[in-house]
Amino acid sequence: MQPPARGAGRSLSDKLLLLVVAVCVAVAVVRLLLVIATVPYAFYVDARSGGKTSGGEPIEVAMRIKNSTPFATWWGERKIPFRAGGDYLKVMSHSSAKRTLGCVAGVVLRDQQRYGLDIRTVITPLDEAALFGTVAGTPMTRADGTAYVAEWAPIGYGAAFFTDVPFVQTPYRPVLTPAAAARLDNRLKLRRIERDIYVPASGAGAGTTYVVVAVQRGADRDFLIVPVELVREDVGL
Amino acid sequence: MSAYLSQMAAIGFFVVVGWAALWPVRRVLGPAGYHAAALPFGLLAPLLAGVFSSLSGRPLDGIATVIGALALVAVMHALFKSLGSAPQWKPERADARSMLLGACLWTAASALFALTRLTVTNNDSVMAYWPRGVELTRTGMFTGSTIATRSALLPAMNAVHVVFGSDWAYAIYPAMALSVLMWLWISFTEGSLRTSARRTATGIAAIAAVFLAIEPSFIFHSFMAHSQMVSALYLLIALTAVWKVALPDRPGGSSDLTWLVIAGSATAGFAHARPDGLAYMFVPIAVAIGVITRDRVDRRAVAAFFIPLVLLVGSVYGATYATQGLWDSTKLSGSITLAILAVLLFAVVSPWVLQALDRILPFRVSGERFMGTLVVAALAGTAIIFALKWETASGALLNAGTNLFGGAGGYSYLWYGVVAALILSFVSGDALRPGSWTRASFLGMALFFVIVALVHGVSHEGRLGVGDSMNRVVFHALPLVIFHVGSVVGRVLSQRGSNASARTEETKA
Repeated sequence: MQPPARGAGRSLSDKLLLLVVAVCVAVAVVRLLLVIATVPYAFYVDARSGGKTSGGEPIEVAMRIKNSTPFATWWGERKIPFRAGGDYLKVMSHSSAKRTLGCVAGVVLRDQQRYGLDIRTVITPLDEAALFGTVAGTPMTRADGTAYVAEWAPIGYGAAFFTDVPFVQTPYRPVLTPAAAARLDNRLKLRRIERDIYVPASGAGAGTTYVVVAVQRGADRDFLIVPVELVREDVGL
Repeated sequence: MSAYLSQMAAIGFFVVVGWAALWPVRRVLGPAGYHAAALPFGLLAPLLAGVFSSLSGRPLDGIATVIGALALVAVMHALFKSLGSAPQWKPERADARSMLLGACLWTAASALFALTRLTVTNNDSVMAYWPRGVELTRTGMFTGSTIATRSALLPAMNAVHVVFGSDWAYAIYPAMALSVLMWLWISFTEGSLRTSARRTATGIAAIAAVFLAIEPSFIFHSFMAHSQMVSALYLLIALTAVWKVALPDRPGGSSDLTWLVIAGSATAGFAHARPDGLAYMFVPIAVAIGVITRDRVDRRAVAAFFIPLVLLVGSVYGATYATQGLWDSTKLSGSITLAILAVLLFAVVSPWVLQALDRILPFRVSGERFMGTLVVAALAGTAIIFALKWETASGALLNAGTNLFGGAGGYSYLWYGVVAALILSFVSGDALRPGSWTRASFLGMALFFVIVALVHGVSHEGRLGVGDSMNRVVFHALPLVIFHVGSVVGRVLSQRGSNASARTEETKA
């Protein structure tokens, strides 16, 4: 039997490769174990110290976990998965922003129609800055160097995926009288409202035209869309 | 239908369709491969459902969904039968146990994913992928806007979810992730490490699968309602299926054609996963051309790979052209798509072109030389284009570098480890060893990264952060990277094992 060739052991590059792989695997496992070991404790301490919502809103739970250093260094700046139960509007509430208003409006409209409501038209303000609260017009640059200004997509663009009901942009000054606001507060039964709510200054008919009402809740800009039937002008909402 | 049941029903539908489509070749795939491939193959059915609904003018509803499923099964069966892949139609005793285990696996998995209710989104998820799926169930039409900005696969998949009563598709993404892990496993145990000691192969496969499963980017994309996981899945299947045909230790015979059909179909899924998938699909296409031209070009091999690819890609875009005409878009216009499809058609005849070049040129360009030549040419071409568009390209490269290596992209140490391992595999000779899995995977990855750099480097500078497009796209190659490194480790450990055996025998002697 021939003796094995000289240098039949691993080459330096092979040994280094095994070392690199072993280190990567070890680091991955240790980081995960650190997260498992510390995150539940971080959550417990925060809940014990009087966190406002023990067992509360998923977004706040995620924020507490995100503040845990081992988790933050492991997970990076990624969003944290949340439990939304296959409910589009619930999912949307985690991503809600001005530009999602159209899709939410479309879904709510579709659902209202399923309940038998006869919706023919939806009115939204022509002045989208008035609806969104800020002016669009972020200067942007294309890859070829040409400049353009980003605008808000009309609400109807997002809504059109879900419904055929036309969204008509009409120039009107968004006004909500104190009395109408109080009635709306009572109707929506929200605990805390910070809102920009817009209704036509003059009625466009009753029964078949709905006004999309955007309610901004809290600093996170959750939009709750409430189709409100337009009634007589003197009654308002 | 309840939210949970609708998720399980949709996943069950895709799995059953995949089982049906792959039934004749279940022996070639093996039980593990058969069940791992079922979901990704079933996900091709909504594409054909959308083609039917677009051309017929009806919504993508239950009828269109069933027709799409039947069409996929019919096409796959016809391919397997006509290409002499020795299809096995008759069920056997072993099938009962395999199907029972597969059914239990997918039922349990889909129930778990449905009940956890976990999902994560960005604006694309909630404002594009899902709404466009809902739109398909109302209009049935692949619009130019949908094709240009999101491509067909995910909107069509979401449409099928709507058909099953879902209000948001979320369990399908971890199901795709499970398929990735399963396919990675069998890529080792029945692929690159098939000839290694069983303990070595299963050990490496297990460590690789666990490493991938606990990687934060993998966990994130397992729940992210976007195109990353499905792209990673199809890319892994397409390339490893072609490599099964490429390597000297392959079973050979009619199973080669089966694997090429699988590779071509997966390439079509990859192409439809996102608009830039039409560019990335040329990675598995190039790999397949290299394999097909290894010996004298067999037209059945060309047919096996390209027929499912051209059929699935061509039918979707054909339906869109027929109903929308030449659409405009700043992302993927109808005219640019037409040009890419023309290149695809050229790719169909390119094996014969390469064969002709071999006769003319003083050096060989086909076979195993093809990928190496192509990678070098692509690198050179990309460098020239970058030089011409340096302002955009430099910004894109800087952002990409900071994302991958500076922590901004959320990968931490990962890509440092990847680069170190790749350099060492190059130094050790594994990266370019002729006739090896490691050469095939190294050059496949190299071409993918060059194309990604080209697509993203000239289109826009990108941005820092996990949400950057290129930062997400490199994830597509992560399972491949782990496959490559694991295969090299397998070679190292097997070599040590054979050296140890030689010394033991010498001692005994």
